[in-house]
Amino acid sequence: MKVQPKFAILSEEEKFAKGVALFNSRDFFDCHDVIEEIWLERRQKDRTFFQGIIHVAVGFYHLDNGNYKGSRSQLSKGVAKLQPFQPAYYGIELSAFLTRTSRCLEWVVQRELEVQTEAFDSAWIPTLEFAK
Amino acid sequence: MATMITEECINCGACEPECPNTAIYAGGAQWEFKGTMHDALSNDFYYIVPEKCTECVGHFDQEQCAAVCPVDCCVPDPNHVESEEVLFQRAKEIHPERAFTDLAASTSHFRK
Repeated sequence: MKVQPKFAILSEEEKFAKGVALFNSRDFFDCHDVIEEIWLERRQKDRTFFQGIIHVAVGFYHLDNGNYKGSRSQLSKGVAKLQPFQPAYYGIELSAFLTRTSRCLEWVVQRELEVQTEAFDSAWIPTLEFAK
Repeated sequence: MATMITEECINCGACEPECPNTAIYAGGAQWEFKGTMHDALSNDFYYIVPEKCTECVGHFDQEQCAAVCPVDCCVPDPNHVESEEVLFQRAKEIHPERAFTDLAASTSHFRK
């Protein structure tokens, strides 16, 4: 049986706003869940923007769980997929978001190589901000 | 080659119902083949049984698990490299009731 959409009653814009709020409250798994529905339904080329956000959310989910390899891979994929959409897309300001995500990715890479001595500061985790 | 699920998996379960060969199982779940049960290949996340994976050859033009995976963690397994012919033969063995037509771009990613 196929997985049934959980947020079918919401419009795409409402799903996205919910996903942003979940990301910013660091509910990364739930953020992935709702943005995934947009990504699955969307057929335009820009679906990689939504998948990029999923990758970053999942990267932080793995980081929370100490899965550094998974985190590194997901954050890398997210940064690569979101970069072409800079400076802003779908209302989201991406440049600062990607700078902060890349900083976290650097830490994860170092941690995976076991050369990291500085403790991870969760304040480094970016938020998704709507462009003004 | 068979498809595999990496440790990037977040256990969302999107892939499992898409597999035409029921080759995907949740972590910790036993897998079945020809009436025999086997121990789980992973206890932590979803896994694909190489003996049942045909990379969707005979069914679709791309691996259906990879197509729906939001985190791109269904990837070719370098430890199970197989030809289109071997994979198609496996599809026929798994689905003896089905009359397969010759492979085409719509039923084999090798022909895309």
